[in-house]
Amino acid sequence: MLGTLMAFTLNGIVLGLIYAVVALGFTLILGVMEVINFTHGVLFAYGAYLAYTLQPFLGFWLSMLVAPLLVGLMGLAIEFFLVRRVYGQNPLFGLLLTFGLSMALEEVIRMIWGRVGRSVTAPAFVAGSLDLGFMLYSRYRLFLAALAILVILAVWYFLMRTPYGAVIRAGAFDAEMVMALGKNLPWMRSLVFALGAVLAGIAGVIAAPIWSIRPPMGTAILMPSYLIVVLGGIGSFWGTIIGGLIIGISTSISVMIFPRISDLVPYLLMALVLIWRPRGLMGEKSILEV
Amino acid sequence: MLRVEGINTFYGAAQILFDLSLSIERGETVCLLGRNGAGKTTTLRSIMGLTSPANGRISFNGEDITGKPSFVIAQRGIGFVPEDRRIFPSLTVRRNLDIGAKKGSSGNGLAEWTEKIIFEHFPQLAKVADRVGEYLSGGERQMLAIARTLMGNPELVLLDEPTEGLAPLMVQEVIRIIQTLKEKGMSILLVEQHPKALSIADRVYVMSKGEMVYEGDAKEILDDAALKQRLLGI
Repeated sequence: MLGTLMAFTLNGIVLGLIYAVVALGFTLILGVMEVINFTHGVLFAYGAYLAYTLQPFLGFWLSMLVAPLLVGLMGLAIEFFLVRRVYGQNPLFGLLLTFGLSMALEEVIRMIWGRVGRSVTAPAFVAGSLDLGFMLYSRYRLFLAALAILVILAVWYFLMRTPYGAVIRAGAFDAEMVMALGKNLPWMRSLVFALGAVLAGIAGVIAAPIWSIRPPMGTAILMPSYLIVVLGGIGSFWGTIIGGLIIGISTSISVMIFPRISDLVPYLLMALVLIWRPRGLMGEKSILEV
Repeated sequence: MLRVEGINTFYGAAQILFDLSLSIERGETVCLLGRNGAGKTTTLRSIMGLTSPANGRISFNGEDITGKPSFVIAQRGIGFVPEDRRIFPSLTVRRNLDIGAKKGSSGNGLAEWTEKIIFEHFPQLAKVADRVGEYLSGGERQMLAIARTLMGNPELVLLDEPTEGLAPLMVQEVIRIIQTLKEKGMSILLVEQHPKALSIADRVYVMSKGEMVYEGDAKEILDDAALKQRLLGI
């Protein structure tokens, strides 16, 4: 029983880290542009599909680099041609625009790759399991967790320790002042949108070998991401990470204990947290609010 | 250097500026006066592209900048220090300065502002360089707001009531800094009622209800109590 619990908890942490990477991109776009980007999920799916298509030609490492960059370019195009038109408008416009676009992009996946699920094999060097002393655990999942942590730390470093990150945080706080100081905010917003898309893409690539790749996988990850952002506190960096882990672990353990309500658990958790703290766990002071 | 010609600016349906014109020559310090609600801040915002005028023309160094985005106007060499300072509270003083920074002197013989030079001119800020904006005093915030704009190496700075709400000692300090900027040859458009600030100015404009009602020598208005009373009510 304990061993199973450990395994499910570890799975939950891995799941939570994937969620956290996706939700980080989502909250970044929401915090800086105040747009709820519903294409975020489908961009995650594109990351996975592109990895599936590119891996036979480029190998694991190179496709892990190229696929998120291509997703980032998609994000750049979406922002440049469409999303930037709704900045400062009624938030519903952005929501409707990205919602419609995400459905269209999901159909494009069906047109290109078909309706049936695909699978990606984990690279050979992380195949099999590792003896952790108390249990055997998938090497790929451990590798995935390490990669997700690296990505999270890199984003933290970029936002908190570089001058460009400072401009992004300042822009989220007072866009007008940042513009009056000579910073090209439209360009900065495009870049943030692309960065958010890259994060979705990375999560899609690294999740591909443990999930079956299906056209609706983007929709499936969008709702947990949204829950995580609200649970952790909108715009809060560490709130998002903690929220991701909470949702990941609780989903995984509830699958073990009471699978029939496992889909309900994240919503219940969010409701409980919001009753207790309406701004989310760490929404008191977000890193995006400077 | 700066020419504002017949601009009309609106907030929604309400017209704030009426056919307003003013000009600033290179190296000049010009004071913009007027009672509350006269449209001084809107004038600065119009120049800066934050509230673009509906018509009229604004040119800077001969280039038409009317309706350009504010970041383009800032890059052309106009710096703006808003009345409410608007520093970034969770960023350190250094990071706040970084955000204003633009490499390279604006030309025209003005020396380049760097963090080192800023700290020489603003010793108070040097002491709190690694403190976040949230924990700065009102005076330090004002210093930082000015310093941050200087980091962009502007040729012309628009200062909106820089001494507002400051303790007397800090007021002296801010005026000393404006004096220094003037001596360095920077062009300044100053919205300020403080008599000391008036004495620095070369010329004065007075606004009332969105219109320019007076233009003249700063000394004239300082020396003529009746004129001062009529235009400013002080």
